[in-house]
Amino acid sequence: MAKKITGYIKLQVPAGKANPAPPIGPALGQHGVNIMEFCKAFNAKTAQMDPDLKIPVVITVYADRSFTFETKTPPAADLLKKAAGIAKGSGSPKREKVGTISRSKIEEIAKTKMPDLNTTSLENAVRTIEGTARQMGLTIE
Amino acid sequence: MIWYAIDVTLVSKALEAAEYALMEAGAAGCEVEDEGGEFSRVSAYYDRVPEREELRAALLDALRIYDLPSSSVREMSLREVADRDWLGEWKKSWQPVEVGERFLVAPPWSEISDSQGRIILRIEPGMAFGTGTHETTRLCLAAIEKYFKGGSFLDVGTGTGILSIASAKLFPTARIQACDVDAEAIEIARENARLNDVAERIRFRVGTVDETTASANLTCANLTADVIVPLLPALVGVTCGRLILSGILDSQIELVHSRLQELGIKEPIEIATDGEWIALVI
Repeated sequence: MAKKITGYIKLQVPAGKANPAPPIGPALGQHGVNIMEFCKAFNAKTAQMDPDLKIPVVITVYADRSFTFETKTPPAADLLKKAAGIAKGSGSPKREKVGTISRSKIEEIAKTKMPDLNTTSLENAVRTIEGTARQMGLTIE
Repeated sequence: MIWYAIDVTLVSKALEAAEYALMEAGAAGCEVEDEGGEFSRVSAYYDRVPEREELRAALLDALRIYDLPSSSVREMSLREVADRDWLGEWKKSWQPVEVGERFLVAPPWSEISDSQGRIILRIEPGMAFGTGTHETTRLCLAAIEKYFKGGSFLDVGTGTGILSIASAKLFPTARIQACDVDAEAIEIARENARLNDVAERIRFRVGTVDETTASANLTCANLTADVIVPLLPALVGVTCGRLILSGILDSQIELVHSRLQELGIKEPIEIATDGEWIALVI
């Protein structure tokens, strides 16, 4: 049935680790959304993902307090760190390189991030991700 | 236990960078208030007092990585958030609701000492297949208790399964089939049927009404007008008794009426309304 939307809740939580603590508990609680049901569904959906990845999620709340949710792509910097196998980016990327990443990996990340990058051109997306990679101290080869 | 929230007001373009930084600094999660304008707010939650300088450095670093100016962050403040039983408070907000003359829709955890003769329908309030208390569902439940006299029942677009569960509880010998095009809804409906001890008596399937569907003494289609209209010939064809059409907004009633007339059905026997929603019984 067509239902009235009363609000959107936008959160970012680690993959597979949703629980009733903040931010989920208070954010969903104040909208009257079933906290445990969301945690269960979110964790099931993200169970296969790397638990280090932070997953943005948009929850749509309806007038009868039921909900749907949609997960978005993790931050580009998170995906780059994971792909390059580094724990942290470089504080001074020009002088200190912390790792390398292949062009094909960059392209893969660009494709993943396309829906959230406000572009339909893969070339533009690749350029954005390359820029982020360089700023993190990654050498592209 | 006390939680600490860092609220950051920033240029909306810098949201991803800020969330990345705040999570890198050990946040359990972030909440974003983004109205689509130039500025947004992100609140990050920590189980310890976050080090202000460390946060500032993480934010600046993230802005640099994302090639954004440091002026993207406009304001940053710390607030304490007392730990509460959010789950418990939420549960308390869900109370059993009387629907129609015969039903009481209740969440699984509520203790009901006296249902005053009403049939209890246990529905887990959750995902967007309805919580059993929406106007369109209420209209259907009221129509079912009035028009279902046993025999066979067909539930098209079952959602939470509530209408089939109600019919099964009204008539323990009734033959009930329920369908939904959404496989996830069917899973949830099965779960709710188990919760009500009627899972064995309802035949659930993923799909819609078609020529293979067995006819029913009462058919209930709690859908939307745009879905109902093209389905009408099939719905009428499968019904050998009464047909309940629900999920129709008052602005869409003409659309359904004219299609019914094309099918040779002059007037519904009942037009029930609840707010802006209409249910027809034919």
